[in-house]
Amino acid sequence: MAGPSPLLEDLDVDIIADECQDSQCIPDGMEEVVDCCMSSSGAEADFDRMVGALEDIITDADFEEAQTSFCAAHCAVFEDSDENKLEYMELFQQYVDVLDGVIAARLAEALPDLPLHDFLHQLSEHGEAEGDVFDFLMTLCDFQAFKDLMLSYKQQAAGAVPSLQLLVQPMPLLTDEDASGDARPDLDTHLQISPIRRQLAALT
Amino acid sequence: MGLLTIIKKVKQKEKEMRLLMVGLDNAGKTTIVKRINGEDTSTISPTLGFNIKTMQYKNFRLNIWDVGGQKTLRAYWRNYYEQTDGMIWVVDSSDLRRLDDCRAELHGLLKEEKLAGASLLIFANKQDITGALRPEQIAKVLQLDLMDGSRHWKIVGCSAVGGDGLLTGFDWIVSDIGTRIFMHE
Repeated sequence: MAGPSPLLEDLDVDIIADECQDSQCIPDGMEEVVDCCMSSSGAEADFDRMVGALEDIITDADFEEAQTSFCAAHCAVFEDSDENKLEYMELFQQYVDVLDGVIAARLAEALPDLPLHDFLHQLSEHGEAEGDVFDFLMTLCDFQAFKDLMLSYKQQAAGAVPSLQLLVQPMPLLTDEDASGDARPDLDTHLQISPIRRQLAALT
Repeated sequence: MGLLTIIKKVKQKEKEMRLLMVGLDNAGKTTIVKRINGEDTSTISPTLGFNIKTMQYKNFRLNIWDVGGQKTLRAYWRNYYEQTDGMIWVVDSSDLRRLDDCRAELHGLLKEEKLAGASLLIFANKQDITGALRPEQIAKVLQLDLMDGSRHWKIVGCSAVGGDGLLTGFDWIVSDIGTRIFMHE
């Protein structure tokens, strides 16, 4: 993102701009100006509420159910080869539409006072889409990720043996940290966010 | 436009470009992609679906979508227009019999609203075959001068088998898109 955001343009920041036109200098008053514009912005707070609501939606059972049932209905079409069937693309577009529909409906339910299109406008204007929620949503509209999900779902549905290897993962109870007297397993290294894994687990 | 589409647009890496390879069947689209990616080109069969190839080219990450060109498949091309930064129209310059068909399909594509801002590279392929028309001649037959004045386009002669001209073409389209994207930033 380049250039000042519309939010900042509205504020009186002319003085600062004049003082440090071609240099990296930060005038003494800078911090105060930034603080005040952050706290005075209702739009910012609304944006955060939206992101919070999105977080809830993508982790709830309804959303997963929508995703899983789509996979179950269509995974048979997919084959593990480099060349893709034209059908995949049409299914991918349907998939994005279905999930988009679920998200929009649930957002409207959760935050009836915040119209979705304002949020979308803000999102595309500011180009701010940092964080886990957006990373996750991004994987939902990536074709390759979609194809991989379908293939792993199909493999799982067929009860193929290799897929069990994904589920049966030995959990080392003894770790390096034992040496220093800490007997607890280091669970951090086993935590990961993966939609595929969630679905595989849901099937068992 | 839904949330996911917008997020994709916002998050799409700055240095990523989406290219769409189109043209009649047997023009050499898949061969060009494989050749530029350094893959074996000796056993290529007609594409009935589509291929996606991601590769690093200069400072950019190219996402190349190569869609089959047979007549029955052309109706599906529209599924691939979204977010296309550049299209590469490949012509078999030795297939004189089908150049009319080629012109009609190309001009149809140029009317697509979703492709309005996309740069257009035309590869006059198969220059190694005797009797192939030269790029200037192809430009005339395809009536490229009738294109909307705002369209960024270029025609380059090439041989997918020999590799000649491919880099010239890719250099042009990548830098044209690059300049355009930076100007908007």
